[in-house]
Amino acid sequence: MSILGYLLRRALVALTTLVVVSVVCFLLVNAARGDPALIALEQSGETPTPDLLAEYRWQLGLNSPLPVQYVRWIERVVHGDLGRSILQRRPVATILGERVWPTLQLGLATLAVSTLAGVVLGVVVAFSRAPFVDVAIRSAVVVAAAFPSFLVAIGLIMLIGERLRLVPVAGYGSPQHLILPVLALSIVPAASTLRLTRSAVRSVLAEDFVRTARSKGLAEWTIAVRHVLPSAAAPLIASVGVRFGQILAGTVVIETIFAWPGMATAVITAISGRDVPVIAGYVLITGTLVIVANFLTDLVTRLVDPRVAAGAR
Amino acid sequence: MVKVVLGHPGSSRPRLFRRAAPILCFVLCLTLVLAAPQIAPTDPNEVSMPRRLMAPNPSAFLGTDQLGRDVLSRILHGGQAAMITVLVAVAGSTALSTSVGILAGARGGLVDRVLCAVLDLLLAVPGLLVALAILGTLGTGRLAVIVALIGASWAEEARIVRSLVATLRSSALIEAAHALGAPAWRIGVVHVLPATLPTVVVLATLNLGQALLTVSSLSFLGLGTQPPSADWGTMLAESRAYLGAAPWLMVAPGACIVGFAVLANLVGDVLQGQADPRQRGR
Repeated sequence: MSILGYLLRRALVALTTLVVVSVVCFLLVNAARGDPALIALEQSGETPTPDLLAEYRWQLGLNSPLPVQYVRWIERVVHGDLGRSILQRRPVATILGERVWPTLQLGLATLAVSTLAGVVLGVVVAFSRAPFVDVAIRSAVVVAAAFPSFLVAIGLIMLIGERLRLVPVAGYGSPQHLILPVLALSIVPAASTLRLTRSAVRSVLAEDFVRTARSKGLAEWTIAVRHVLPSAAAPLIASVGVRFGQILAGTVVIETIFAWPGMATAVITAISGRDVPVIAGYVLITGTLVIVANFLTDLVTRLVDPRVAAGAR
Repeated sequence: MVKVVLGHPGSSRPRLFRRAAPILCFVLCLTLVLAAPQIAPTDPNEVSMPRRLMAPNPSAFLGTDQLGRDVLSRILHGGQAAMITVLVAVAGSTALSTSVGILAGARGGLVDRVLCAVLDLLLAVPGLLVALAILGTLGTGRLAVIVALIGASWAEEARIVRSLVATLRSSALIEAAHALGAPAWRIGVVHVLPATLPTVVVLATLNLGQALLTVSSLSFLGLGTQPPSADWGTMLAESRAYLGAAPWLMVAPGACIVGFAVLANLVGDVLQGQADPRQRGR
């Protein structure tokens, strides 16, 4: 399949997913808001008679079928209007808009750090012939996968923040503020990257060209960087999109602990107070980010490894 | 001299122990926690200000918290609350994913394609996001948390069961059943379901640990168990204010969460080894 065909296909999948996520958000908001005509009338101080209600419903476009209402809603969303928060009485777009960048910052930094750490350690483990290295790292991965991120965060705060006083334990603004949240958030994705790298590199190590490289007398690290990693890269790159999604969802917990001014605080307050417009806005924004990340991942995977096209169902 | 070892290598005693130990530990922990009301030394919510923030000592093995409540009792009762939520959620998630997986895999055709599209869609969105959306709609009760957990985990399992069943569909076993004129539901329940069981059990066990981590995270955020009841996540959240003065408040629930999740994963690995001998020694 040509690269353009592949691109169009993936774009179609991404767009469909996006539409479904937005429909879910629309239904959430729609089911939760009560009767807007009644609310509008009560706010203007009029007594809601059946006639008035009917007129208002007509004016607000509430008599049109749901799909038509959805199209109107999505039109407003595209123009940056996500509705108003019930609790805060502010536009959802303003509440979440100013918090998207800090969350994204945290997510991208974590993605970079965990990928780097996971790949480097994974290559080391795959190359090492000492059995205890393998056993130690594999046990560490099992334990790391069982550590909830908030526990790691509390441990880091106790150890590095309070005991050693090396870095700030809460807040936002300087690169130092990123260190602890990113560390806490990186453990689990780094562990899964490590595992993936290890098995990808191991499977390439058995190839003939690696034996040839060895017989030429190349240094192990040259073989690793020049010959093995490029061949093992495809599954690693392919997993970035999903991992970014998990990291982004995980920021909710970490942001709360480190008083990071991302979307988490807004969402948690919203969930406790059933502030559905904010929740729907959060799901829509995060969903869009994840879908875009998945799409870009597919694209890069295809560019790096042409074999993907053959497997693209 | 060549030493000849008789018998199956997997049946030697250390191996057997290595396999049985996680399962035994797991069952023991589960029993302890589920029997909390019978074995907890005190009422978990009994406030006693003179006894507040006591370090672990013979009268309170794991110390007391900021209101003088016994940490051990709270750990046991909190564990029970968390475990019931987790067990119900995992059971629900497993039932849902197995039925959908078998339906899609065994039917094939349009049903399969539609269900796969739905599953792919769900898999594109992170589980925790699905869970948060569900909690946002249903509120923060225990039932809502269970539904949220199921929503977060079932799609991945369904996908795995589905591909397993799809490979079974062309097997001689199923073909023979078809040839004998067995109705579709009978083939599904009598022939396909037992064949998927080993995989399903492994998936469910691995999901136990994951579900506990999610429950604890939600409680930690204040979206799960509500005070004065506690589970391990809320206990950790409360301990944050006393990190320096009373570290035992953090250690006990933290160790419980990690210990249980590690155990669940180990048990899952052991069962996986039993279900699929090719995985052994990896």
